[in-house]
Amino acid sequence: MSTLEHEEPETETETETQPQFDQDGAVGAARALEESYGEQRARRVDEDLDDADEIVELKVFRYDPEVEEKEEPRFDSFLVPFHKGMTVLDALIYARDYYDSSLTFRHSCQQAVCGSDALYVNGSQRLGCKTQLADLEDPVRVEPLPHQEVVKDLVVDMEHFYEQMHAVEPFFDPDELPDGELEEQRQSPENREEVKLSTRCIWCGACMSSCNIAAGNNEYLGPAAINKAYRFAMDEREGEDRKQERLRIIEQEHGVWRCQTQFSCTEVCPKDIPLTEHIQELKRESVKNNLKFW
Amino acid sequence: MSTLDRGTVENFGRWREFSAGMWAWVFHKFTGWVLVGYLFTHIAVLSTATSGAELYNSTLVGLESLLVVRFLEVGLLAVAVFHILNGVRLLFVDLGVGLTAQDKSFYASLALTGVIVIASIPTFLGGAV
Ligand code: HEM
Ligand code: SF4
Ligand code: FES
Repeated sequence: MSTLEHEEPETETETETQPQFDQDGAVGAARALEESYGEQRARRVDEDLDDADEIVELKVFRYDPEVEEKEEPRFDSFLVPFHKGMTVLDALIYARDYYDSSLTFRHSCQQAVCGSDALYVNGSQRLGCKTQLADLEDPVRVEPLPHQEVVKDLVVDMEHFYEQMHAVEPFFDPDELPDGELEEQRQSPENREEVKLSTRCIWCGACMSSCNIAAGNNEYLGPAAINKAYRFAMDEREGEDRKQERLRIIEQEHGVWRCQTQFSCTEVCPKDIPLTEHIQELKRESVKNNLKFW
Repeated sequence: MSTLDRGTVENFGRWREFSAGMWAWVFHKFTGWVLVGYLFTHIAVLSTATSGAELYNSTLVGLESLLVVRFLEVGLLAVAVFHILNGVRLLFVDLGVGLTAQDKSFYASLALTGVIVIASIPTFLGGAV
């Protein structure tokens, strides 16, 4: 089973999201002179709304400390033309391109790989680019990730999340290297299976945002970091010494023991990583590591 | 960089959006602490026996004659049964057994609690209503 099999079918978004300027040469240029850019956009939106399969109302959280009218957080509504296959991210891009160019959100790959567009959509943490509008109830409410401070509109401060990720030393670091310079460091297929799901993490932060314990305790490593720790602690190629070091991070007071198995993280992870399962397995590893009956 | 901290209400006002595992946790904590509370009342009531059998008997008869006490007993049973069933569910979760069915086992705990509580009503309310 490859990771790719779990991907959602790709959606074609180009045509709906790119602003299309008039290509009719002289006629277009003449019209552009008469019509301001704002009028052109308004006309384009009217046409798009007429063409749409349906019209979706997007309610988006707005906040900007540097703009007076946006200092007080509020929700803005945008009517977005919906075509089959459109995602929440597509709708946000439409709203930004045709209604309000100051609407701010992170995105890049548009295929659930870069992890930059985790948002709080209709009461749950989801990736904008992986969430079909068709699966959501109208109006679609889009907010920045809960439990993180908002920098602007849908952009949250991810610093703390990255700190926790780095705290578990998220890199492969074996005790011994193979003798030959170009020799591979082979992993058994069984061991690869064991860590496979944990390698899928795209650092989106959805899990951390959904976790009540992480919200109330900034020292808690959180589900993503623990999953990262699992990925390396369970990798047999690293060796026993490194595993002991890793377990020391995992079993610290604010490591795995803070997890209260609420399953919120597992529920929201867009890559379907069984986070709670991995945390529980590391709890058992820690117990086995410390319990001695002789 | 100035940022917006959406504050306590933002953090704790999301209970409407909880899913199964989170509700199980909330109910488990709640029932656990209700049981601790009951433990103290239980000790207080039983301690009347240290002042003699008569006081103990009259206290218990007095309490049992109150309709509200009979209803509270049904409530106590509900709380205890849910805590035990969900406690067993959590033990399985700790063992890593059936984690993908954790929502179903929570609903099963709720349903079984309901059945047991209904079955207990004749015993608890018998003669009182
Ligand atoms: C067969 C009976 C019981 C079982 C199987 C059981 C099981 C459990 C389990 C597994 C937990 C941990 C929950 C977690 O990991 O978050 C727990 C928590 C708790 N239990 Fe019980 N329990 C039982 C009886 C009781 C009784 C009689 C009391 C009260 C005197 C009680 C009070 C509590 C409390 C207050 C907590 C919450 C502790 C905390 O805040 O972490 N339990 N129970
Ligand atoms: S574990 Fe899942 S939800 Fe958490 S950061 Fe990684 S991909 Fe996102
Ligand atoms: S845009 Fe890259 S994960 Fe959504």
